[in-house]
Amino acid sequence: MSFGNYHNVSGAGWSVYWRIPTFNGSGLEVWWADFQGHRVMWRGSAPFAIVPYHHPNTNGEPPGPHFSYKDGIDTHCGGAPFRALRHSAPNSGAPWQSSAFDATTDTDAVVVTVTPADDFDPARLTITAKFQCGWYQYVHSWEFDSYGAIHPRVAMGGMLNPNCPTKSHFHNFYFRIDLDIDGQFPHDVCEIFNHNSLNDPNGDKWDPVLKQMKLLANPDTSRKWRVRNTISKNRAGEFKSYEIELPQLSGRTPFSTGDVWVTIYRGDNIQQGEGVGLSDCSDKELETSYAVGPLHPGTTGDDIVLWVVIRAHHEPRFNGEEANFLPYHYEEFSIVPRSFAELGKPGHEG
Amino acid sequence: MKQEMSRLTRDLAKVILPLKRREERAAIKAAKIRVGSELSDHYRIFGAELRIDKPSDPTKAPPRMIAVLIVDYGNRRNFEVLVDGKSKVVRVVDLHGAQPAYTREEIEEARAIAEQDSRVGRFAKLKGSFVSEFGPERTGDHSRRIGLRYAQVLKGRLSSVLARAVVDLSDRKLVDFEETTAEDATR
Repeated sequence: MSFGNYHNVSGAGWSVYWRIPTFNGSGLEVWWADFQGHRVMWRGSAPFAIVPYHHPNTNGEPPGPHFSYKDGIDTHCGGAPFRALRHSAPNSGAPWQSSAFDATTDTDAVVVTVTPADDFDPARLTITAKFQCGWYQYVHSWEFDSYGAIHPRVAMGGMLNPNCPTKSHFHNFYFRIDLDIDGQFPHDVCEIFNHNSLNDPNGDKWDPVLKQMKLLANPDTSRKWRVRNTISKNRAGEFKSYEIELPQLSGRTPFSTGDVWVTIYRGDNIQQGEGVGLSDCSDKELETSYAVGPLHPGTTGDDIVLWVVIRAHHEPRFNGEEANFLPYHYEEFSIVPRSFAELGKPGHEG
Repeated sequence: MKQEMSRLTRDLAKVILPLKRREERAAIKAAKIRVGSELSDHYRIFGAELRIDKPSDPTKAPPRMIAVLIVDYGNRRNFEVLVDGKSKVVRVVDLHGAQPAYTREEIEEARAIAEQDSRVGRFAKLKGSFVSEFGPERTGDHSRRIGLRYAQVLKGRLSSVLARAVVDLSDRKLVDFEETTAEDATR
């Protein structure tokens, strides 16, 4: 088989499997990510993007009335699937014009690097692949560091929209994050953090999410989120958790309406991004179809699955640096351990 | 054994071994036997892929399953047949209109249909023209539609997208065509 199989890699204290699905056009996935011998994540993916343009004069790309592409899994609205390229494919329009740069096997597409710790950074295990999507290229990259954190990243490259190279647009990249802390599912709760004031006690506060729903970022309160296990504790007796830290370089739009969606695991072939965008090429279905139903934070907990979006507003430099190709532009967020990892032990490579 | 790997993952080792050709063939054969009588005369078996779902008991390894993906153009139905490690069909899963990525064969078939129309054929014959696929607007009947963009490279310079065609593979016909223009990016 050329695609669809699981490949194990390790480094920086992590063991991770990666896969590029055969049929979905949904890009790189990571599976069974373990740190220091403990399960952290069942699966992570970045299966679709929603890309609305300034309009109305787009010369048919993207088409009206919504002027917004849905790329990746279950593509429509003029979008395209993610087509795996050989990792050596040039960052230009050439891989759009020819299939000569397509990866024939998944191992042609993926590059795995292990970078040792240095005087400034932890060791890192990085899994990266690039995908053609219309004239654009998207790089999917997952970095796992020896502090126990995960940094999902996406880069945009390729070339500007040939029909409206001057038109600004948003790239909204959606990640599906299925954390399974210590393998103890379905006993997680999702919580929201807010910094409310500098006056303690209760200057900072964590509150449980009581039902499946859409959540919004708020830099004014240093808002973040976490998935906390209700069974597994560290040596200090604290429940193990992983936090979502989501930078806000650009804001929500009518096409990308939230920042995090709390859902539950319903299988590994449903609610993977299919059906999103069907009504109006926006992410509305994440709220109306995916994040629907109760949670049980006060009793059993749940098998929490989060959807997380990172964004870039792209104002093209069409008469300058981006006239010939798009230098890769990266956006990322972080999944950071709290009371999970044991760092600084003898033999641990910091 | 790597110390980074959890016991849970070590227990998965046999379940997630790469899919063998023999397994793939057996799964497809089992799927065809199971759903063969339901298929129209216009379908395509995309292939088979490992499918590992979480176990109901987290302390146990999940079963090794193989998903056979079938697009039935005539019946406007996409579905998976899940087959276990002993080539026994476990269940059939309707994808409810979700569309898999287009295969090279489908794109060639769509081009052959579209380019019979002289309006499209003209763009296909342009020197340096090339075609790429896109996902068009959906219809409520789950028909399998492919969008084709026609563009051109002349003397190393890329044109705009010159035309867009949409082919309905379920009906085997061109359902939409439009020429597009480009803005002047030098302003």
